[in-house]
Amino acid sequence: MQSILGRAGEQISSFWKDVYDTVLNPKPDAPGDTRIAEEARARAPVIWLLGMVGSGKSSIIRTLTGSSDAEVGTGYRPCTATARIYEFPEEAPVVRFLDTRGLGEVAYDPAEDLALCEKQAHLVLVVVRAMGPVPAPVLDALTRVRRRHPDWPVVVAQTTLHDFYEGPGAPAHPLPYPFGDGTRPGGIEALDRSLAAQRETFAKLPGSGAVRFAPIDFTPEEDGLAPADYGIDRLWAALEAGSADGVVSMMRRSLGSSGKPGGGRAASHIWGYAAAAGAIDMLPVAGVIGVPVIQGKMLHSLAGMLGVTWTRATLAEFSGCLGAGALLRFGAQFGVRQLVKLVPGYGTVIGGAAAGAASFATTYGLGHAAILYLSSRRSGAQFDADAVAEEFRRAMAEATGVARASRMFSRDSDGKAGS
Amino acid sequence: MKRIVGRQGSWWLGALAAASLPFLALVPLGAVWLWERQGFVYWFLGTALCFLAAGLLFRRAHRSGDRVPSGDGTTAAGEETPPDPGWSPSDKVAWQRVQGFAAQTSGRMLVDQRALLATGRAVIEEVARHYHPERAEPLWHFTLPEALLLAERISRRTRALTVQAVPGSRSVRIGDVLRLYRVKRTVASVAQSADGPWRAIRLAINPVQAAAAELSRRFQGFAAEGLSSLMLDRIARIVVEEIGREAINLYSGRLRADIDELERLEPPAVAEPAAPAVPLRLLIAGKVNAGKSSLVNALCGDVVAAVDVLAATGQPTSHSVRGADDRPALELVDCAGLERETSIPKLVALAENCDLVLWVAPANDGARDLDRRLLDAVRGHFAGRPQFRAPPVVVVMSHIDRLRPFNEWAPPYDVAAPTGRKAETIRAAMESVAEALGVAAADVVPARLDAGMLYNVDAVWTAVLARVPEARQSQLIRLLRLAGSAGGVAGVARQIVTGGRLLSGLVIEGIAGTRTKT
Repeated sequence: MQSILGRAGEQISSFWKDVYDTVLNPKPDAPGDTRIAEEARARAPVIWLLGMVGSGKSSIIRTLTGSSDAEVGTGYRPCTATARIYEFPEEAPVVRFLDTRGLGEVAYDPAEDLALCEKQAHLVLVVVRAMGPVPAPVLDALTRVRRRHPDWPVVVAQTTLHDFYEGPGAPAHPLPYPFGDGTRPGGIEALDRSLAAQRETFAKLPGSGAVRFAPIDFTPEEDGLAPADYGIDRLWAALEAGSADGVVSMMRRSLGSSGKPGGGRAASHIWGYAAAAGAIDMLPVAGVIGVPVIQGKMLHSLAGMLGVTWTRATLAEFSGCLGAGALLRFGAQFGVRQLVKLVPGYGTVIGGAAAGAASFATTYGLGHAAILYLSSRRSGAQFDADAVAEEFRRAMAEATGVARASRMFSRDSDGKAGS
Repeated sequence: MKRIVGRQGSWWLGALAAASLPFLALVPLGAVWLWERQGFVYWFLGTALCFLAAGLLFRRAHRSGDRVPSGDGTTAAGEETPPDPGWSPSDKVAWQRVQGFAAQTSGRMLVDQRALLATGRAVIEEVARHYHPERAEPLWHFTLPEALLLAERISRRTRALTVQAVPGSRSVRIGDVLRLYRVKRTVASVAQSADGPWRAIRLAINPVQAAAAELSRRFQGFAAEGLSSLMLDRIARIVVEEIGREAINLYSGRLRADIDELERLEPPAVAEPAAPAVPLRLLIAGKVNAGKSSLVNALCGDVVAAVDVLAATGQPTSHSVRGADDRPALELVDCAGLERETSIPKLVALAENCDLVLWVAPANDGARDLDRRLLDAVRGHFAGRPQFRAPPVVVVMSHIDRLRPFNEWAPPYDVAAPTGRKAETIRAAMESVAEALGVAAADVVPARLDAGMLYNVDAVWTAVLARVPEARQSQLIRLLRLAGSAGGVAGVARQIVTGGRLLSGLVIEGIAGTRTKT
């Protein structure tokens, strides 16, 4: 027992040495960074936006990610001849929007996009203007999708509600949001009829997956329509309900905090590091980059985003309050599954998860704990070790649940998704 | 007469005649004398020169009154006559070939009967081959009434052009008289003998040739070589061009109906409303819910088409707009909403039967691929059929009130020199629509078509009126096609019965026929 503890102590110190080295003396590591981005890309949930040009897809991407126009505009990678992928954030995406921009064009074959999304698409988000019938190309493509995947849930965003607002004076959204779960009338006769007609159209879709509706109107601030993100809660609710595995909820939290001042975009970056760390354990050749190095990179980069610099003292304080630093290293040495069973508390969280899921969860938890720690360091507020430990546990539990439910790191479905 | 010469007037006249008879007798006697002395030629020359001098002096004296004919008439030997404005692209290609012949002609052709006939025949064969390349004998691909109409038209135009374009041609009275005489006989004899279309054409050419022959005989080389070679060249060119022009009219099928008769069917721009007229037919097309029915209502000035947020129009419907003031009578064909490319055949069929297309494109809908593909399909349809004429397209950009900023609606908006943000957005949307749909920016009319909130409908009318002449050309070609296509066995039978009134009947029937079809 003594020897085990002694060896564990050695290993703990050697683990933190790796982390310290990476955090304090970051080395430029282009292949490592690329790998992190790639893994994040491969694991990030894909929301498939289906809609005509000008139906409001870009507004949705902007509003959901809370980013400015430019960030969405530049963060795309052309994917196939007809579709393009918007990634956010660009360096290590939390979410990817597959935008079938050329929908309805000559010789457009949704099969190509289907193949692309088959393993990744968490959701089909159909975007139609609220006024008028559902455009035929959208309906045709969606029908084909549902024939192949009858159980896929569909969320229909009904946009540009303000087209219906008439009368003297400035148009204004009806408040409070009257549409409820997307099926209740809003009080404007023509709008309600048009929305109902669209719902009827979608009701005829083949397949059994639920179809949820979200009447929304996302407009730029200068349009003077308040609120600018009218119906966003309804849209999030529909998306979360459509994604049973919780990935969207987790993504929402990551994206949501990315818009906050102070925290900056730090939270949204954790996903990428966690995804990379989770993937390391599953790769046959893991020697390129290790979990500690990834975690060290993450801590360093989070501090940079928050405008704080790590020192030996703060790192020691942080790892001390986590107390579970050993867990990470043991995970690498013996396999997390065995280890966590020995540790009360944590064992219930990630016990039984695959090694990849465990690395994903611990990295994710570490990142969120670090943000909390660094934020209070920066503001000079009272440092609360329990809160940091609690955040670590909370985030880890969340990530474990998601990784398990979505089987992000299960052996059978892995490997091909990103390539 | 009685008042001037009084009751004894007849006696006075008798006395006057008796007194002048010796002097009058000198005219024939002098002619005989000249003839016997071989001096007739010199007298004739002298007369011609006198006339020429008189003509020049006359022109000089009446410079202001002497109207130089414009258009075709001013053509010199080396200049091209422009093709008829109403011709289709295919006709214009044929006209270029005719010009090839015309450029090679010289006045000598006129004095050589065989050369003239050969040239005439070559021109006609060239045109016939252009229109009916698949036939072994394209020359014979027309009907007797066409040939008769052709002979008449060649004669009429050649005469008019000769009078207009050839100075001094009026003084050659012998040729004129001779030609007019022969024209009469030509038509009459062809009608009697019905001995073949080529004969009809040849006889139609003959008067010109006869006039030239007369000229050459009288002038005996001198005229042909010197003084009037330019004049002869001009006449030669006119002759070739006119033969070609009429051959084009013949083989393009245009002569199946008398154009004059068709023109009479056209409603005058400022009409007595009672006059029988074929109203221009406008196709109102665009995507589902673009605002087509709203446009119909706006142009009709009344609620005639159902407008709703859901696609209200299922089948194409036709509405008539009575002409008033400066506005022509119109028939508006509201095509059903076009949802996908499967609508192309339907759209093309409608476009083929319309004279002008009003394309409604919502300003606030950026998805214009379908619009463009549908429009291109229509354009492609006409491009592949040079004998058709594509109807002009005017784009009505609807829903401009829904452009940013939404909360502003304070017309009028000056899009030419935008001052506010709304006007700028409208301007930008117009440019984007023009580019997306492949039309000129000037052909995009921004408008609001909501009932009770109409804006800029006058500009739509102005754009339509500006295109009326072009639309009339499309209509004419379309109606001619209808008249031609109805010329089967039933058509011939009706011809026998109804004779000259045939055409108007056919045209009206053709329209009625397509109307019930659509």
